[in-house]
Amino acid sequence: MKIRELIRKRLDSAFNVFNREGVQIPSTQVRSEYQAIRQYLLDHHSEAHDCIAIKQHKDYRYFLTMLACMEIGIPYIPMKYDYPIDRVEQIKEASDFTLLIDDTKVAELISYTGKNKTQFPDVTPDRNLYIIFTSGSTGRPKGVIIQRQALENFFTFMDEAFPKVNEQDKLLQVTEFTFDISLVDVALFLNRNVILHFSNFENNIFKLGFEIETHRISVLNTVPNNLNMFLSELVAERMDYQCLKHLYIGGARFSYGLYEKCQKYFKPEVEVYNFYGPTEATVYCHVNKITYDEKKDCIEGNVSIGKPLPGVDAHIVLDGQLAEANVRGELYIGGIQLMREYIRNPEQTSAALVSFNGQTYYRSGDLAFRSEQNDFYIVGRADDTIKYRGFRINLLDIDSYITRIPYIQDSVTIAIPNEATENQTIGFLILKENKTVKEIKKDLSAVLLDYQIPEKVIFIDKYPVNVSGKVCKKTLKAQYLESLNKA
Amino acid sequence: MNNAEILLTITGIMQEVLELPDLKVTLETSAADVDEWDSMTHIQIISAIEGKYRVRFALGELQALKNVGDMIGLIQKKLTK
Repeated sequence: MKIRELIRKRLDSAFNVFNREGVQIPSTQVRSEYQAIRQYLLDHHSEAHDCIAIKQHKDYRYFLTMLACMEIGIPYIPMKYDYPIDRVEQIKEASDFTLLIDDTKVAELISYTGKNKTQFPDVTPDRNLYIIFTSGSTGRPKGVIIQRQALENFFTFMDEAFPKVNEQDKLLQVTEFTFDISLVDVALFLNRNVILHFSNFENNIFKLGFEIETHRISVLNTVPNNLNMFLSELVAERMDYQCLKHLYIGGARFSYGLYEKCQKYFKPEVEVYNFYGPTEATVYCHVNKITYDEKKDCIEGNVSIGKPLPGVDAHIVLDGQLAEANVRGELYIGGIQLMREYIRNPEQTSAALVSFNGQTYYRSGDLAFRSEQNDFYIVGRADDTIKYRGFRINLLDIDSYITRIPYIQDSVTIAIPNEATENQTIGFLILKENKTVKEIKKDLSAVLLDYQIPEKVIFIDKYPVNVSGKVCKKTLKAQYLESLNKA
Repeated sequence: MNNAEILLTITGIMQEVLELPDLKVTLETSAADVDEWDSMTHIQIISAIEGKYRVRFALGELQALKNVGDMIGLIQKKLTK
């Protein structure tokens, strides 16, 4: 169904919405606020050049503002309420948005009583629907433009793939709207009429657990890190998970460790889905339902991301050629969910969108392989693949093998280019117990091929991390090179 | 045990968990004030406090904590039980 019809159908029928304070907003109030926001936008901001920035606390009015933009056909840009002024200005410069709706503005709009226009503009499937800004490598945000047809394809999939989810289900809306995986929540509300609870957990994992228990939440769409945390022993022992029935997990890698936790804590009737997809390919483009049968779900510790969604075309490409089954290469994504472009950024657009076999594909930068059954597996980042003594090796892959040795807590392998072997590999290990380099190399030879074993092994207490908490290999490399210079 | 003593202990725990030996902690300090105080380190801080005072907090109690002052109040409540 087209998005405009879908929104009208849902808001015209019965639905349930609870705000972030846990209070139910009567559907008559939701409808009247929605109609006022929509009418204001229709009257004043529905020309072809219009574009709306939304910068509010994540709550039902943010959601209504998004829906109004979607229904009318005005592209919108989601922002967090606390974005610094610099970032807002960068986005303004890149997009020329014509109106910013913050908490104050939306509180005004819900009382709007004007009515200048009744005719909705015509919208074509290729009209821009939203622009999500991601952090670009140059420090300037990149605006990913997604068209209506792309999200409509994803919404259709969400409607058809989860028929068991229905109006009895309670969904806790946890993800910021700046993160496109939040559109899974929107889809489940519009298509499956779930009861919508806006979360206010503010990164307090105990609060998230409390909200799940208190509201008896049955549907949760979140990132692996959140699931990992509330399946950590300290949280898990105080939580009752019995109410959870459908878990939609994506936005980052579903690790084998998380897979094991799901096996430990969830009964097989709890449906866990591992989703995959870059923002450039609209929310998600692959999905795998966890069967809890390791042989079906995993290959060599990689949890399957499943098959491409209908309308999505995915290939593994190695050295400019299609790779055979089980051969690792870069994941290329094409099809209807592909972004239009990065806004006003032809250089980065042409680097990301490439022509392959006569079609346009997005180069995901992810290293992956597919099985004979066409199930896909993400192994790491293609950037982490290097040549060493003529062999192609992936550093993340090596780390995943190394950490299977019980006394090794963590491993980060980096490569320093050199002439003799193309690269020198150095493994930085955090150990759980004291071992010598000799003992470790002997144990590594049991899990790795000789050219995969890091040439040099260095013990470390902790890794340098970046602002998002991820290990910063660049800093690690710089620290290592500096230590060589000092020596 | 008075609040000042508990504050001192919590400060030590937070300095260790967050790896910030010079961190200043007051009753008003909250996760919003310290970048390193995220979901993961929050779990570690709670675990260390429970171990130190041999108490156990329920999910409902933990979810309501807004700052260090609330945490001290909760510890006092548990200790006087």
